[in-house]
Amino acid sequence: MRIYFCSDIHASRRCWKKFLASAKFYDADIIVVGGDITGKFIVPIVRQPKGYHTAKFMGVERRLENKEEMQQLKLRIQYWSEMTPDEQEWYAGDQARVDELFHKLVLDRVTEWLMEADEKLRGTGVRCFVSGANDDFLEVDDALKCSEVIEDPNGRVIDLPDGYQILGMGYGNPTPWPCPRDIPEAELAVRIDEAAKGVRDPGKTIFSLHVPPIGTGLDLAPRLDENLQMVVNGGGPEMIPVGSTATKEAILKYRPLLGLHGHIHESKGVKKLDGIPVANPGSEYGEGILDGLLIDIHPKKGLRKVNLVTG
Amino acid sequence: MNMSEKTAMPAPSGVFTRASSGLVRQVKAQDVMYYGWQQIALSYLVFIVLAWSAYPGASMEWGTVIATVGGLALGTCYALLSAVYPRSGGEYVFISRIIHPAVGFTASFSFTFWQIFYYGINGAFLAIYALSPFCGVLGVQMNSPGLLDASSWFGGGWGIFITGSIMVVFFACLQGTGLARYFRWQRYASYAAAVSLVITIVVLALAATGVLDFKSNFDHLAGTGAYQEIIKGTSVASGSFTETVKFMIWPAFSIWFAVASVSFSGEVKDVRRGQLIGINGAMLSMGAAMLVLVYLFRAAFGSAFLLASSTSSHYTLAAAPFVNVFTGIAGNNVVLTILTFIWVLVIAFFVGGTCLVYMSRAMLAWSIDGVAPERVGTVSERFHSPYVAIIFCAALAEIWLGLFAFTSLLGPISGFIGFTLSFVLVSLTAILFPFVKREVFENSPIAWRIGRAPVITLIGIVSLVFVGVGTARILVDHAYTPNLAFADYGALTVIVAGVVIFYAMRYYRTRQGLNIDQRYREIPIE
Repeated sequence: MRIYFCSDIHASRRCWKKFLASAKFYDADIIVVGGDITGKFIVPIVRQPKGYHTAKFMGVERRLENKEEMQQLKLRIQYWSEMTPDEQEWYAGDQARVDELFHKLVLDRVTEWLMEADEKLRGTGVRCFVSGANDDFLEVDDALKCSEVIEDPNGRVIDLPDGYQILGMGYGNPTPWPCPRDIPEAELAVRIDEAAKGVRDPGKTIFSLHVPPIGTGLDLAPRLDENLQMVVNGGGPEMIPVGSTATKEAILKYRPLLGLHGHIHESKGVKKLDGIPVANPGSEYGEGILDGLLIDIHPKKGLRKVNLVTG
Repeated sequence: MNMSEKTAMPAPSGVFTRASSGLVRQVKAQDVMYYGWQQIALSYLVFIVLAWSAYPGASMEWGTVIATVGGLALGTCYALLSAVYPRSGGEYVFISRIIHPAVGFTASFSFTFWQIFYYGINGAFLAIYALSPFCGVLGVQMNSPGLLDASSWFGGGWGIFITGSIMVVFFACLQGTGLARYFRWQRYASYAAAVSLVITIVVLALAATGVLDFKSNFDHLAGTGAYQEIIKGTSVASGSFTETVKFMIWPAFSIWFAVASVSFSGEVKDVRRGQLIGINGAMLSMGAAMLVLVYLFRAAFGSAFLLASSTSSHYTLAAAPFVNVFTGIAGNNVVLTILTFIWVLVIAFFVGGTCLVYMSRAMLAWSIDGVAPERVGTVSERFHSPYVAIIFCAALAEIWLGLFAFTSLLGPISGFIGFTLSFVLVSLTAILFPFVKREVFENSPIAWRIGRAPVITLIGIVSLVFVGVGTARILVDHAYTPNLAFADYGALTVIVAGVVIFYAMRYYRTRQGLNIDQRYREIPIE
């Protein structure tokens, strides 16, 4: 059995399309997104009085003369909304209006992706697991249920071939931002324990826990000061472990076949935690690059390989 | 941090954001610049001035200006490409994706290999260009045979090897027990260096304007008429543009290293206020500092004296003919000598540590991509440092240090040709990027054009001209390296080794059932 695992694609249309193509490209039986499928930015595409559109993307003010140019740009950005200069002004002054717009665009995009997944994967035999994580609104879980082909392992255990299982957990420990699924470590531990009740044999179960275990090298992120400014010293940003103690304790307690994680984009790697393989594929969604892991599991001999790939 | 504070999230201008993780402010441009200063290592100025006599008619000031202009073009290529591929790992990341993985790895391997070389060789520089002259000038000023003996010892084989070894082991231990502690030490040392540099400039300015009398002070220590004897028969050749361009490689191979900040590009995404300003700001500010210093050296000590002192048989002073020795003599005060030497000592010491930071990060990136053994990327659970890579680098650095100390195989610029490979490849990558990755370019934050020509292509061409001249000069410049063949063949061997290692690892991974090409190839969108 070959599993392709990625995470943190944050509304990147290129990454989603690549994810759907990954089963064929890597010859995988199961493909998994470990959470954080929704985005963080809306780019206003502003209709100018003279007929053309403008948008500011990645710091560059862009003038869009025709539909083709607009389509090209839309493929790269997370969310967009066409509006007049007055409407842009109306949104810019009120975070509540922006949040409302986010909810609509996020759910529209998830729905669009589910239709795309159904179309691409229906009848292929490829199993597809997608779950929400700390950055995703809770409503995303309801949307995922509407898909014919997508299974959501969040908070539960799903059977895989040859007696293996996968456990999912999209909730995470507190971050410096008020994310939709940030919860205290103690509550996270309880949720993992609840989900783990469905595990038959931990040694044949993959734990897909969005936040990496603390102190494994899969959780190094820049230290931030009170203004969310990175702390930089003579060698660059100061990196500190920001993983979860609950995740670490769960892995040490249950000793699963493998720990799969995401959340910390800049900390990709395959490590061992007390002999148990744990991995984070990292994320480069901003550049439309899909970082992933290829996991080979033998029906009887268990885990054979965990390799990082970039697609 | 309470919840109300969390709502004040940073966001790129022109877009709407919501509450979600990862929305942090960018690394400040001044932090990138600060890092660049460490990489430039102004203490190299000591032997940059020494090299001047080998280029008759060259202008140190114009050489510095040319190197800085070329550096700005090169630095802009690095900054813009890292803005498109904002991931830690330096040029390896964008060359492997734009040109070819083997090319990216080879460039990174070569740069890293020669960083290891300079990790060791900088230990030798510490002994030869900092500690030996420091003890020498103090010995002369204090009439202390003990200090003069110490000066001789630091300049000899065992002095070089033991001093360098202490530096190599010190940084391996310091970084092995955590980078945070290392950077804290480095920052404090930099503050001391900055104060010392200001004092040096003041002393030099006083000597240049006649308030301090260098000639009298020198004669007082070296014997009446010594200054005149040294400069007798020395003529300062009239200005030569050709020689100035030849000399340019000396300041260039100090200033251009500010590009190394791309190793943490993942955190610097705002091209307008991040790498672009940081790298170029470091080059401009250090270029200006170099310009001021070389001008003041000439004005304070006299051009003829600087040219003749390193080769004249009449130079009999027990302290080496280095500019900081002269600065101490100009000050005519032991305390001033110590104060004006601090920046040389500090920078010469810490530049080795800076080399180690870069190479351990590069090795980590290779192991992640599978082109180096996983063991190389092993990180200490206690200290979060890549200790295997650090130990490996320190062992290799010791070998280079031993060869430098006890043989005449190596010279100060023996590793420069290896660095030029990366500089040339990055310039070429900048030129080709808009054409080989058209869609990525069009949707990137650097999709700027002048007329129909992509700005990055134009800058890449300018950079290639400067880097090409620098590379050509290094290939033929016998002025300061006793065995240039070693440098040339060494660089070539490293390049071939890089290619061989890449394809050997590719074969090995294929045998393991992993197609390494898939690590770089984009999944086709259907």
